[in-house]
Amino acid sequence: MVETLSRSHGKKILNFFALFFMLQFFAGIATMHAKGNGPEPDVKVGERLFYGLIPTGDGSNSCVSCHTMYSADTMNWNPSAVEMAKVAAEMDLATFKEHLLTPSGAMREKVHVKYQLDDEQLFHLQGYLKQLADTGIEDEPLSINKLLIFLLFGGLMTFALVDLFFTKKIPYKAIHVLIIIFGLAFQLKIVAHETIDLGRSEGYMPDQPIKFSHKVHAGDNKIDCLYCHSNADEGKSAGLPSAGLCMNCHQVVRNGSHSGQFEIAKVVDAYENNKDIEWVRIHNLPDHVFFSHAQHVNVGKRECQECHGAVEEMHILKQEHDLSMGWCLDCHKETNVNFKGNDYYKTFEALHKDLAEGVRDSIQAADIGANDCMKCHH
Amino acid sequence: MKEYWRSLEDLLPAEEAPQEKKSSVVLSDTDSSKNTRRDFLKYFGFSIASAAVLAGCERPVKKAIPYLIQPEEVKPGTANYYASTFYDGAEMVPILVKVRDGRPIKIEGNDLCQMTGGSASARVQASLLNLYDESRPAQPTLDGNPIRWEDVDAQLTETLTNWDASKEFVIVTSSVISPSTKKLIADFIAKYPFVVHETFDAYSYSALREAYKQGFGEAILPSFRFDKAKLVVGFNADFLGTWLQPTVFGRQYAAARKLTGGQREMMRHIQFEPIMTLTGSNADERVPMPAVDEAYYLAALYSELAQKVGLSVPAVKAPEAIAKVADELAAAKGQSLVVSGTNNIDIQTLVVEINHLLQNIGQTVLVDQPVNLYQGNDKAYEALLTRMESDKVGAVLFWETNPVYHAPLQGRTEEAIKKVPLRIAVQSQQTETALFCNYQLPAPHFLERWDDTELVKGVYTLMQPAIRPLFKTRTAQENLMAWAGFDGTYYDYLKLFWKENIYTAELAKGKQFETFWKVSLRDGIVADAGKASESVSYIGADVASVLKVNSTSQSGNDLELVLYQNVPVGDGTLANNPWLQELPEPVSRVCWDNYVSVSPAFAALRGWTQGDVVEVNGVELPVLVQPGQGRNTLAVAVGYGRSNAGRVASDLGQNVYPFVTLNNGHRSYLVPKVEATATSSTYELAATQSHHSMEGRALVRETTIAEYLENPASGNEMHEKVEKLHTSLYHEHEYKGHHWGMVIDLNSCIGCNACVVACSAENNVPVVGRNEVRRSHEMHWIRLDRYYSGDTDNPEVVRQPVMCQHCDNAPCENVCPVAATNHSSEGINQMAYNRCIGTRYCNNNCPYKVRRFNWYDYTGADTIPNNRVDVAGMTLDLKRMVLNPDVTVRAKGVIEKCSMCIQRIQDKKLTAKKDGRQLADGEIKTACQQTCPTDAITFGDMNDPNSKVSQLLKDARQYGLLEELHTLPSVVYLSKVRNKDKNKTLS
Repeated sequence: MVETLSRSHGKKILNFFALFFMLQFFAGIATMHAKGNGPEPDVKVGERLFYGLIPTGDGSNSCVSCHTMYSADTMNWNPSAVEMAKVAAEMDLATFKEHLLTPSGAMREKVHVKYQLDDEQLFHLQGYLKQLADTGIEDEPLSINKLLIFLLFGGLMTFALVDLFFTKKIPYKAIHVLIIIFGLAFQLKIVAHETIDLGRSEGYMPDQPIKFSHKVHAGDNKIDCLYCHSNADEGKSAGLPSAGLCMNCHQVVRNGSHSGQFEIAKVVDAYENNKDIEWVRIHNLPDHVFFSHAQHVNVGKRECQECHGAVEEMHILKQEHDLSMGWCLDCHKETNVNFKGNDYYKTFEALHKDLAEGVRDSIQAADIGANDCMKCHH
Repeated sequence: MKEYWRSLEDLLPAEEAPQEKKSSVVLSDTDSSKNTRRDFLKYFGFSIASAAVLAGCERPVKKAIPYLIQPEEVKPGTANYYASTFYDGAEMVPILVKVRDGRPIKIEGNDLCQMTGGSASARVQASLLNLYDESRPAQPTLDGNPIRWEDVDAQLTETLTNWDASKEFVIVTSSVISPSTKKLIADFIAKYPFVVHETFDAYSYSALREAYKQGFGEAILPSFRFDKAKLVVGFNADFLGTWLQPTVFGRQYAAARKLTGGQREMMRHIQFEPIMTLTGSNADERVPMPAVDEAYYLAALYSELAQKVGLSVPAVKAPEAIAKVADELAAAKGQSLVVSGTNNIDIQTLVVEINHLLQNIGQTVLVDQPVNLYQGNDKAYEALLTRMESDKVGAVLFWETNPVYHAPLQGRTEEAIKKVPLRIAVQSQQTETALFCNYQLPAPHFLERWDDTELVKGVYTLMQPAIRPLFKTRTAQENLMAWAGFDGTYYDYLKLFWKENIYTAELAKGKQFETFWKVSLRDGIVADAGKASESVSYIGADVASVLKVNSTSQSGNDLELVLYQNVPVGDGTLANNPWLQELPEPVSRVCWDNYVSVSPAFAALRGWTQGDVVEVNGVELPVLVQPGQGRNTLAVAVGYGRSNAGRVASDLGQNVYPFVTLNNGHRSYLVPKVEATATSSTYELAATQSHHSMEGRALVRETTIAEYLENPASGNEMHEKVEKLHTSLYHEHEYKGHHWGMVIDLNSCIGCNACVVACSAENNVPVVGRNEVRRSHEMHWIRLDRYYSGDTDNPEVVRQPVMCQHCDNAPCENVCPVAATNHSSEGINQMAYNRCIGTRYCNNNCPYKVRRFNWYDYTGADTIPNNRVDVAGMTLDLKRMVLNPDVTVRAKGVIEKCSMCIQRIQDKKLTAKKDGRQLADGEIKTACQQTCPTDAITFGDMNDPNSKVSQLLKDARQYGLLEELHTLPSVVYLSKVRNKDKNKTLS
């Protein structure tokens, strides 16, 4: 398992570099080549326009302030920079100008109205967007992570050791010892946590191809979870709704309260033009775990939120719990079984007797074998 | 207690036991010595390094892509079952196909079929894997070059339109049991009158049909009813393994012999045979018989019986055993059955006449319900060859037939085919015949196409696609329709045929056709009881002349060679199937090869031991010493040595079909005189025979029917003694809900091995290949142990299916250092693969030796290439489509074993919970139980006093395997009963 992941990862990194150099190379050729023919947009100017470094009208916001480069923890309803660049790259200059300066649609009318861009600026801007659509955005710059802290402590401890035995600049040995103990403890803590978290992804909230908000659907509009994830009642997998199911409503609803037309248009496009919607899977269990939604939702009458968190409040869906085995087992130990409501449990005569005689007042899932290995590991 | 022996080596004193032979052939499957300590360190270091890197990495992004428009009946993670039919040109079995997320992953028998009762044979189970065979022809070709279907159609339509009517266009099919296909061929012939339809069976039983033609005027194949017989006498007929309809016969056979449910009588079975077959090894009494003397034995039997009823026939001096059998048969008139599997007209004529004399016609031999299998006529085939040789045939189309391999007839077939100007092969698998064809047109697997069958008059089944065609294939029917210019698809044709011919008032029962069609499709089977009879009457053959020719014994000192079909591979049509190749032959327990089997006496005479390579009429084969074989009989299985079958079967074993000759116009699978000489080389057969030996202990317990009727616990006296000593230091498990248990009736089990393949398919059991089996690394979760007792020339055989016994005091559980194997609250000995670190302590401590260790990665579960041993392509994406998504694919280094199909238990429990009801007894069926033709396996809740398992546990025949060890197994056996008199034997 460990090898699998890291290997594929290593490959990816290699691939990335290979791709990066190839892109550089081609970009180089392209620029050299392009210089001979006709007017070329000055991409630098375009970029400055996009970031608002060249003013584009009184008090207007920069493009990037709405069409952001990186995803954030909160939902940005506007099309991201890359998404928009892809649309813009397809247009000729006149259409681009029309879309930008005299837009239709509630949000754009309000925001775009102040923009003043001449044709040359528009040309440069579109040039930049075309480039952006081609290359995409670079990876988010690294923030100082635990690895750096880990190494820092390593360095400190080495220094302490060297000083303890050789340089002897610090007079009190207690300081060395303290640094080493503290450093070791901290490093152990990081290692322990990281190892436990291997393959777990609590808090995972990736960008999705369509800015689908569970809050809008399940929260604001109070659509039942099972309307879309109807298979949760019947099968192992909760299932994703087909685009056809989305169209039950979006045949009519084409204008989102937050996102305008842009996001809904993607569903319509997929449905009408036979395109797959590639959602990013959030809740992943390893292949050797067999979990059944039907057992928990239909039979156990659990609320979806118990495992998935307050989905109806999430614009961006996030993995609420770590989905670890300990988390499963703990819940099984605490959760009462609806023993009298389902005739299946008549099989457990001894436990029914215990209940009747008052030996115990409730039966937990673990009491009837929910924590047996082979219940989940076939 | 009888003394059983597992193999011949057991009988020898220890110092004489031969050393295990090592193969002198270079082992080419794999070179596993590549994994060195250095590699281990490399990967160990690598994994630590990668763990460190991983700490800073994110998981790979997984995509979830929903349907755009969800089909109504398809639910992710939920399996659908579609009724269909298995037919490979030999056996026909109605089936249910389990389809999970668009992929067929398991075949099960259709329980609406009364003949099979929902059971299936090993080959039916395994046929699923042929669907995902990467060697399947994937693209139409013309003289080796790819060609588009449109061009094929254009060219052949033109050829057919401008045909020279003086020449024939011959279509060679295997036996067509589909009424709609028959009509289509007739329509095609109506459009092109020069087209001739010929039938060619891979393995021929044409003498059987001809014998009925002589005796009853019609070349029929009657329905046999073993369940209605009180005495069955078989002559060289492996009716439980390969003969005609083994699944149906196995079921009937066991039904007539069961002693559960208050039955006090059991059918008696006597077998005369030259080689030890599966059927013979089940017989109450078995008499070795030289194959060349079969006609003589039957002539003698006929003569004895005829004299008893006062017919004047030439007297034939009967062997002692035959005289005794004649007495028994005469006493069981109308309730007996004599069968022979030999394709010889004299023999089959005698059998028909004997059954007539015994008044079995209409009782156990139903001539009024003929079976449509094996319609081939060898004489017609020979006539076809003659026409080809004399340039009367302008084109030949081989429709899923392979005569170049199955009936080379000393090269005659090949030469005749070469003389035909236009040669077309329509085939779903690679064949030797296709190599001689201009057009090679790929056909879909039977799980990808529509068809229907009519096995017996009035019993119709449908075949429906369970998956879209994986390759650019088209059915032979659609080819004909395209070339004849018929409109629509074959589906339309089939449906219209049903509307016009099968949709009758009796069957419709007031339903509209569409409803009738949908119900038929759902059920897969429609039976018209009113239609199932045909009148034929006895006219009698010329027996006197047959008796005259066969009145003396032919056997002398010559060596005879018997060519037989073995249980796994059969006639070789499905040979390119890893599951079948890995399946040990039930008697010899050898897999992945054929061999020449010889009797122990003959081996001793020549000084041969197992593994010596000998040359039989120019073919080199390894020797297998087979107890119970005729003294001067050699035997080799057909179906091996395929030269063009695909990756798995090509060049596996030796092809002995070239030894088949025409005798009286019928293909004869007996060579009366052969030369066998030793060579200097040896070859190690991959046998599971001497593995897992449990010697000298009362594993299989047996008694005779007389003793059983007197004392039901006879032969099982030990059980009571052990029960008295029942005490334990261990705390007993408490089962508050279910307590799963299994009862295996050794009196019913015939050892057909269907359970082994069913288990492999259900539980993703790996295929390991020949070399790994040689090293005892086979992975089957269930095995059929076979023990011999008595005389080596004619031993008695017992067999016992052994899987994890799910002991309450499990020795394996106590020794696992990481608690990867432990006891569930429902009595199952559970195995958590991801916890297993591979110490194999459990394996060592298991008295039943049922735990299997993954020495390598056989199915592609891990990604380190050097871990992999894959001789059969089981790690290819295409073949991995067969994997059951509900069962973990095990990686290298973990132990696995029978889980009592826990995924099936969980599935049915969940269904009951969702319905808010208690589980019904019999609702959960394990894979082995489901497919078992003889209902030898019963699974259920031992805590439920009314369950069938609890009822069977009250049987006095019940005992636990090695119960003296006090492991308290949850699998319980019922002892075997033989219908024989201990003091009187035939031979």
